Amino acid sequence: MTTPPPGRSLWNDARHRLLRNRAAVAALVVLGLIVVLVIAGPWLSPWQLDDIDWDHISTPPALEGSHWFGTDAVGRDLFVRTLHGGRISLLVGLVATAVSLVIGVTWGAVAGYLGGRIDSLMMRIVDVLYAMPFLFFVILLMVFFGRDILLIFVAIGAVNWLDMARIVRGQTLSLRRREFVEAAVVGGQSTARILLRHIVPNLLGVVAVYVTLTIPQVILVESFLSFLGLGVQEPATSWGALVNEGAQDMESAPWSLLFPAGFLAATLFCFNFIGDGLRDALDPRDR
Amino acid sequence: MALLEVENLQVHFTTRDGTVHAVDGLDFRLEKGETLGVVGESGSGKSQAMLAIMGLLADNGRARGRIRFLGERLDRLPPAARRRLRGNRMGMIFQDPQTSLNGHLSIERQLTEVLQVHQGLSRRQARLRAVEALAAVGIPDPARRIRRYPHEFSGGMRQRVMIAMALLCQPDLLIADEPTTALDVTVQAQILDLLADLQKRHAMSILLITHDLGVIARLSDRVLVMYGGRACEEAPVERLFDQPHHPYTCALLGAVPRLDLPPGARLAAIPGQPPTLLGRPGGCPFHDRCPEALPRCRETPPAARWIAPDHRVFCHLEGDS
Repeated sequence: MTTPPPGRSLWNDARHRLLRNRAAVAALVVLGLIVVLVIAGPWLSPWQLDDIDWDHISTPPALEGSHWFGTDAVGRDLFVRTLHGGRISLLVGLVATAVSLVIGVTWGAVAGYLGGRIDSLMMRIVDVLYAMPFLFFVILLMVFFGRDILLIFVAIGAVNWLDMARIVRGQTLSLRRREFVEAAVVGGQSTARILLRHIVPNLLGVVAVYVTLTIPQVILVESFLSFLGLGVQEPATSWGALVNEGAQDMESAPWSLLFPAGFLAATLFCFNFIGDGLRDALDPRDR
Repeated sequence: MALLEVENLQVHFTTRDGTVHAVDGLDFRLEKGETLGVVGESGSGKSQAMLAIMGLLADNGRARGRIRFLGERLDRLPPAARRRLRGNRMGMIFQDPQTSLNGHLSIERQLTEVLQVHQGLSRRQARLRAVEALAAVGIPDPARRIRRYPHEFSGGMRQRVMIAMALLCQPDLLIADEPTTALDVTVQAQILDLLADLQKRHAMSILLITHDLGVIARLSDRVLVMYGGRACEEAPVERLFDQPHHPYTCALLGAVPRLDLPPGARLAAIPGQPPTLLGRPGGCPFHDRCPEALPRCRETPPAARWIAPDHRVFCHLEGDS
């Protein structure tokens, strides 16, 4: 007996619509290229992240030779540094978003589904955390624990899950009185199972859109922290840190600003286009 | 022993405007294999009474009174034990099949889930049973259809899936809360026939909630008429249609369009508004719309009066005549 073909799930439908959206597909392709380049690129160049080429200090980009993006003010290869910076920036974006995704969705879904006093208590905790000055919090962490890339993940994730929790809770509130949830309760299923099987899958559309908007936001926050000197430390770098360095001598060496800034902007654009495309594709019309 | 016995059921909701008495002292029994139709307009408390039986009231709701299911006091069971009964011994189907299935899960997942939870079947066994259940509710080619998603089904087909889901564990009691209201008339008739057929096969009891007297006439053995959170009248279905006693029942029957009336005859509407359930109303809930209300209808709520062994009325009127 052959298994019959599965029906088209809402996710299948959404994927079809997304793939018909030209801007989103283009953004996906560009983003894919950036990711591949960032991962594989540094091996193409003979230079390392912290190699200093004493013969070429602050040279403009050139296709001959090995400094394709030029070098910075201390003679480090900008191609390698831009791609290394990309690794850090994208990693921060993904890890911090994943942290905020897990905490935020769990927190929001539990609060929204259980309701009542538990909901009030959980959401007041969120409000209190919201009121904490973020920058102060980060500086405090840095002072106490030293500058560590892990801390940046934690700090950004710890702040970003608050928005996620609020969004997810709002959605859960409207889902929990829907009849299919009631039907699951009538079917005698446990609260945990209902949350996992019925609430969370129905939240994912909204969450997916929000995630694609969170990743660029987190990358920007990291850039901002690095720009202030609170982010990654030399010789490691990120796009934010590179933009900071580049901005300092942009009159004499504009390329040291343009390349990292260009990559950063392109990535942010891509995420935003994908987010828009997802929002259209997952249009919450009931079908 | 009756399958379900409800005694002095009260459902209260605490709201910002005060306490709402959605159900105010309801009694009824349901025997094995019997269908009891519960009629009443919106806000008469019929749905809330059923949710109280299932243990599914909203957070601000409280139920009081005794609910016995096969002799066991449901209102005293801990939540976990009630959950084991739900879906297994008692099933429920809802009004709107558009929203009562989860759009993100295939029909297979939604059906097998119930079996895996309650009967501990494996995926394969559960799948076989689910296919059988779909076949039993008249879904053609169930082995193929089961892989599909709810949005690929029509409204009537979805309601069939809901019925299949409610009947998977062969419950003793099925609560059908306006099962055909959201469906068009031909599909309505099919679903009602299906329910009647399934009931005969499984010797199951049905609590059928509706505001449609036609649906009641088609499926029920007995009818309970509710108004303003209380029972008005209860009788076997033919008897209620032939000799209604309560003024509200008479008015309700008079408001149904009939083919034997001359064309152009106006339907009898019931003047006034249903009572607000805020605070406990004194007297008969129907008194301010009742054409024959007596002074004491305003003051004391009428007690049950048996005018036949199987026919009771809650009204002051006929006690005098």
